[in-house]
Amino acid sequence: MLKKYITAILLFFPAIFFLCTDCLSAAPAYTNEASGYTAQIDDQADLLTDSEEKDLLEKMKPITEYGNVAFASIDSNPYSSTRRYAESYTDEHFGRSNGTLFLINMDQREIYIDTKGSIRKELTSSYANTITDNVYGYASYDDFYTCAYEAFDQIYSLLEGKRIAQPMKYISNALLAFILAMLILYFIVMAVSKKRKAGTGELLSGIYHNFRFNNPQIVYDHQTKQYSPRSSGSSGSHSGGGGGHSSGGHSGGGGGHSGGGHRF
Amino acid sequence: MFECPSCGGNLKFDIPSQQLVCEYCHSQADPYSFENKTKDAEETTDYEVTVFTCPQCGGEIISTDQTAAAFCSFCGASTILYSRISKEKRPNYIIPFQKTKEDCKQAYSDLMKHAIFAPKELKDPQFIDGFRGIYMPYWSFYITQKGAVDLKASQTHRRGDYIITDHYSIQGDLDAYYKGLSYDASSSFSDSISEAIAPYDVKGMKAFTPSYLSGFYADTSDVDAFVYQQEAEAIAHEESIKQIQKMPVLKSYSFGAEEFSAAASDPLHTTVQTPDQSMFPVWFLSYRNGDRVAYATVNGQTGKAAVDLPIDLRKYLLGSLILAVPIFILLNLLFTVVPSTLLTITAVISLFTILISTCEICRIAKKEGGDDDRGLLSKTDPQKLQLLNAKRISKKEKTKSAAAAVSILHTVIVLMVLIPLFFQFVGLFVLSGSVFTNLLPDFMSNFHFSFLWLLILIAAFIISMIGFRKLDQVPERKGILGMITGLVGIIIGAIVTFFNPASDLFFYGGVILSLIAVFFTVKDVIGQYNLLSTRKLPQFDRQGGDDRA
Repeated sequence: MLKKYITAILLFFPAIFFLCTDCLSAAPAYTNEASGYTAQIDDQADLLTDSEEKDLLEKMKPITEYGNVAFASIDSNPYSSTRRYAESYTDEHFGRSNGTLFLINMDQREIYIDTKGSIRKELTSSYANTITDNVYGYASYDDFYTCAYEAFDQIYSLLEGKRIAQPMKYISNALLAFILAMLILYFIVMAVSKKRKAGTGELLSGIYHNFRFNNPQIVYDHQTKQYSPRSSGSSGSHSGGGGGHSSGGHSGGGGGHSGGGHRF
Repeated sequence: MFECPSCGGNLKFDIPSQQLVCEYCHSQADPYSFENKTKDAEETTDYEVTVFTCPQCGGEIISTDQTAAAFCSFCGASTILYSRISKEKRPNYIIPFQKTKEDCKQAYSDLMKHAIFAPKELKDPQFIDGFRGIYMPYWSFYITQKGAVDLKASQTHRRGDYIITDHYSIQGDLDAYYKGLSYDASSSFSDSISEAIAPYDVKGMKAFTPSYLSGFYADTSDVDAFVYQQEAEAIAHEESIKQIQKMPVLKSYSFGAEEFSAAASDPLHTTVQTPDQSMFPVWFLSYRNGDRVAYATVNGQTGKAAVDLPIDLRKYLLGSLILAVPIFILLNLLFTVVPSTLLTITAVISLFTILISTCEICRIAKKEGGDDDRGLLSKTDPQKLQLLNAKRISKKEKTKSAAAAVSILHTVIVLMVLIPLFFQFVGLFVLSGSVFTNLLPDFMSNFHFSFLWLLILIAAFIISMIGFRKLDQVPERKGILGMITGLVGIIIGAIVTFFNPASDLFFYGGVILSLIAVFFTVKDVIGQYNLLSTRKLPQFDRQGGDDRA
């Protein structure tokens, strides 16, 4: 009987050990000792292989010089939108410090980049949208590793002060600029070529005219009254609280967010 | 022809010296020195002229010279004009040319400096040299207002929850006159041009003598004075009421809308004396392009220029490309939007261009129908003229009534309440799209329904329908292609937005198609603008007209 217990204990601890090892391998993480920021992978939807996770973590490590970084994937989203989930995730994991999350939401088939803290200056909502625009195609073909890898590559480029490709932005802006230029020029031409009709004052300046009104008298006739109560709704003033939000981002608990996403 | 007393050469009116000058011996003569020699009973009312008639448009100009005219100023045709000797009624007055041809060309060139998209022919020195000095016939009205007047006025103030209005009678003796309010008396000279080069200073008017016409042409009068009499009376009426209102003792009183209207009653005893016929100087140039003609005119007394300025499409597109560069840079710096938003922006622009196109179509329909030229309308469609005059008066009265009714309080309400409400309303439409999407059945969960798009679609259809209804009155139905492509662009955008595909390519495809559609719409708008800035070739029927002409 004692032997049985000893065997069970001997089997239990290795099992716990292996389970923990499995857990660790499911969520690889790295802490940058110099900055204190972490990189972590939370692949709940199991989109990446172990080796892909390791490679991706390597790609994420340099970003920890600037802030926390995380990759997350989910199968089901308890929140109303991917953005809500991403913001909740970063609030929970990064607290008030800098951080960026690349999220793949398999439930709504959407990728999303959420950024917290001061690195929002470099990684704005516009850039988050641009990056997701650039990489969503990989996700459409279920190549989630390349999708995430490219996204982190572009995030790092931006944090390093480099530029990223925005081909569609340039194409659409070029077309938009041309059409706007055509419309603006139309109004300029209209304004310039408009024939200005002489006003009454100008017409009168060129003619002989004379005006005399002698013995003016003001004779009172009658009085009328109109009931018109003063508006009570507009009297007084009050100030109300309210939070503002800039494009693509909003203030939430533990610091502001900015972000952008794309369906795939 | 006026012969030089010294050598028998041809005397022509010289603008700088305001004298007749001999072309050969350069001796000068007073324009009135020929008046006494020929004066007899008939000459006091008539004078002999050569009438030149254009074989193409029927337009007529007259001259005291017999020199053949080689082109028509009205339709721009280069052709020898038929000529005949005729007797014309003498106008009462004339304003002799004060601005020389060089002054005129300078005024024209100054104006054309800003016209960077005008066809290059309009800036060609040889073309500009074609300016022709023409005396245009005008009716000059002499309006008097004399007698005791009794006007209604009021003062308003608030007391508690009541607005108290005190009504008064403003009485006094009015003695006013307006002499020289002038309107062009030729159906070939558009009101839009005469209004643009106005005013003339009638203090520079002189008694008419035919020698002033030597070296110039003159247009014949064929529009009756009554066509413009109502407007002249209205100007005199409004001006007198304004003057009364401006008097220090009356400044605090408001005058009712009916006091400003000359039509309802005439408390000012307005009387129009017999209108005088006058000749006013105009430098005139016509530019013919296919079946359209554009006019450049310069006031021969003041030098004020008015030019019909068509657009050269190639120059316009080049200008657009150049302007697009800074806009592109600005957009890249400030503007990054997701493709779906970009598609919506494109649709709004498309809707806007359809709106512009429709407005242009309405304006063209008005212009081609002659609504902007009462002189011409009096010859072609007198009933329509009566109708337009009646409409104009009622519109004016309504405007005045409305102006009197809108108080400062109302303006504040509009600014403080309605405008924010409007934006909130628009915002609600934009946001409520996603709310509505959530109500769709599950199998449509990927579809995206937006109230903003619905609004754009409805507005585009309504605006287009208005435009389509008027297209029949537009030459060559100009604008139909732009309207249709604009609509198609918006429909494509709406479809893409509704199906909401994951791939950006569909959105960008929609954006590109919409922008191409917008391009065609704007191109049509330019074509429409060119129709508005030019005129259809005139066809004159010079029968009838005023018996004094």
